[in-house]
Amino acid sequence: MIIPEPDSLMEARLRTLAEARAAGRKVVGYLPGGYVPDELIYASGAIPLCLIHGGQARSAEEALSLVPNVICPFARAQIGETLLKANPLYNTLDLVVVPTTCQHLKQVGDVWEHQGTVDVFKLGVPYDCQDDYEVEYYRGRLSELKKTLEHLTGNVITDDKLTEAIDVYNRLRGLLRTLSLARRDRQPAISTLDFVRLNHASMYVDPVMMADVLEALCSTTPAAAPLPADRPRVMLMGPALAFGDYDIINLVTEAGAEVVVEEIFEGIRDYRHVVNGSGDPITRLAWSYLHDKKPAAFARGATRKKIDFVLDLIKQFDVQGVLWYQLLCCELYDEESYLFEKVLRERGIPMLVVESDYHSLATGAVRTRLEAFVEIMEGGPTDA
Amino acid sequence: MLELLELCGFDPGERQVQLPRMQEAFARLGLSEDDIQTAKERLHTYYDMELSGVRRMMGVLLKDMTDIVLLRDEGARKIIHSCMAPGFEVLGTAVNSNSADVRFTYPNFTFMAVLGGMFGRFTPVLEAAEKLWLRGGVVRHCGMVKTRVGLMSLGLHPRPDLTVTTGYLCDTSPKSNEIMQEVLGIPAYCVDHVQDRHLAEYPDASRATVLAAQGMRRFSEIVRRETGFEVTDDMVWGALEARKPIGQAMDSVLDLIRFSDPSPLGSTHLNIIAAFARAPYKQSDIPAVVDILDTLLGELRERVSKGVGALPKGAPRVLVLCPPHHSDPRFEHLANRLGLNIVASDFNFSSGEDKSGAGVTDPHDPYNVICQHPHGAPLQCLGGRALIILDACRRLGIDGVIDHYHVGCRYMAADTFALREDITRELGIPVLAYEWDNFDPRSYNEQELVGKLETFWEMMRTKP
Repeated sequence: MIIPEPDSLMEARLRTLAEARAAGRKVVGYLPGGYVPDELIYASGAIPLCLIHGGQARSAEEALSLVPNVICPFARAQIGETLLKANPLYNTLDLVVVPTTCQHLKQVGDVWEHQGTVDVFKLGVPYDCQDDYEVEYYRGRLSELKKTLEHLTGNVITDDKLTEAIDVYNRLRGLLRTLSLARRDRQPAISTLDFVRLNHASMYVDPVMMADVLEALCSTTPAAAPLPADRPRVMLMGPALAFGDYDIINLVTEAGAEVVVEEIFEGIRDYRHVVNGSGDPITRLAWSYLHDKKPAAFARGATRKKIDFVLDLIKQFDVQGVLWYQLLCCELYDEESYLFEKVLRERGIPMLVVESDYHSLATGAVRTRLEAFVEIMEGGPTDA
Repeated sequence: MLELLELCGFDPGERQVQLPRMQEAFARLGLSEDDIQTAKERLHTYYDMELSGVRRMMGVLLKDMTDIVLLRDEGARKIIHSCMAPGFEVLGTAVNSNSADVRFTYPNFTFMAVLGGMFGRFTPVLEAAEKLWLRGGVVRHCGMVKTRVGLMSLGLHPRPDLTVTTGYLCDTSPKSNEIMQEVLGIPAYCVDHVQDRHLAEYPDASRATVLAAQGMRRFSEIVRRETGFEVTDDMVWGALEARKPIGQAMDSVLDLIRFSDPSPLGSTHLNIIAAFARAPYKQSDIPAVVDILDTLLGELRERVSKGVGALPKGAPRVLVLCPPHHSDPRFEHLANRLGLNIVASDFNFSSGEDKSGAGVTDPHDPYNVICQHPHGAPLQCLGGRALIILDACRRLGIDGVIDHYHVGCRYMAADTFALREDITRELGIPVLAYEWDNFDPRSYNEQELVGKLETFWEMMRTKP
């Protein structure tokens, strides 16, 4: 399997972005987490960009002029990127859609609205979906977003266009899913770092082009020298994995293990869900995005479902340990870490919590802890 | 103990009834004779115990805490616990007034006022939670959520049969209840609204209020399922009507404090009044509650008429963002000592649609009538909150704003710098911003605070 270089895909995107802007096309950014249907933006004729840059201290620190440091570094990085004005992906936005998911990201929308530097659409995401009225609320907000996009672009989002967009993104998610499942093999043909970088590229790159690239990749024969088979297999869990935040995956490899699957809320395209059904496409999107998929940590009643989901992933991917990669001041995941550590311990699966504020992770302390973690997974001393 | 009860306004007959109950409750709470001595000293230091209204408020809070501790002993078959749940005091009144054996508690403010404010013994509650899933340190979990978990883990609040909270501006609270459900097996429920209002929509909050009302109605159905007790609309209407005089009496007291110079009551009482007004009283107890507030109002009016103040006349008038401290009166006491008159918190103000009734979209639905708190300052978007604060500052003639933002609440914390910018630009008054935990007495650092408050005072004095 020859992995395409995500950097070249990104460069191509930047070129097409400039051309599209010159031709009058609108660019609509949105924050991640899996609750903003890119289908709607795509169907409007605008260019959807899921804003997921982070991992660097500079952008997170730049935002400290506007928000205090109890806002997580990923959320701060989104503000920081707009302040630094150095990232063309953040400089060309005609509208940003901010879903009301976790408190940190929500505040990004409020700060942007207050600053007035970019138009913001706050997409209301109910925290629960037990009853129809919650899905109906979300559907109503999607309809409002549709109107906003039509007004912005001057294009009508017809049912046909939206249905076509759903097909485009279903194809993209399906291919990412296929690629992800390849990592179940003892000697996976694709590393998680490569998978994550491709997944990240899919947040920015034209979805048809990205799907074509992924399709070509999936149809190639595995390379002769895949990853080693005898290393402990790790699941990476956490609130966010930003574009550029790759140190943690490399550090695991350097410590002697391999990340083979991830369960991340923000920054990874949710390739596991499919927009199903027929009929009104907005209704299909509402049910699919709010109801018919694994709920995120902020959702009500998510904890038990998430535990079951994670245990299933552990089994599917033959995982020996969980690395809980938490961002500083993420109170939601910090609470959950207590419960997951307990649940996993009862099943004999070790879990290690590593926190990041986007300053260098590759310090001695983190390396030592990862090495001890690998030793435990390999059956070494448990008092490490 | 008897002296404490007398100090807290219990008459001789009540003292005899309450003494054995409180002895039992205090034993469970680990409160010793020394603690009682400390409480008496703290009451005289931080609160205006000359006033009958204040003494009796303290007595009611003390009794509410005792009632909660002894709930199971005194026949509660099912207990519904609520926390960070504005509006649920109404539902609590409906349940407590109409059921013989289902009890609805809203314990945090009571325990903070009594164990914290009165006894200065609140830290162990927080530490208990920190040993579980709300660890201390840099993550800065909210002290309010820790309080709930700490009270339960220490057995100070009896194990409930159902917990309810809201996610109006919080992720931690609902998640904590869910973890309690997983770890302790206590069913959890959360009522939400969605924080998606744009500034351009201000003051319309109808999307939020309708969704919250739907969630609260669903909660009543869950109460029926979990406890067997049915909360009817008539009961909710009854509770709403019965509680109205509490709100009116409290507003009268607060308005008198806000608009009098000199202020007739120290700022430490703002939190006590709020805690007192929030308990889910039985309807039959409400006339006595209102009488206490009316008594306090009468006493304060008398002071005003005589020009007697708790602070010097002309003391700089300060609005605080986030409420006064809930479990520790030392901050407000220190501010008063340094000559600053904290007259109100932005949490007391709203866009006005809740009070005028304009926000009610369905006057025939009692849940819609209850769920008007999204109009309040804390539940607005940043820009909406700023508008309410600016308006309050103008109306109250505020000289400076202290934003002691609650660090456990990301929603509040993230507003800080923008609010400071708006206030200084629009009003030209100083804003002192620093982080604290609204519920954790360990936030208090006198030396540091004196430096900040003295500088702030100087900034107000020298403003152009």
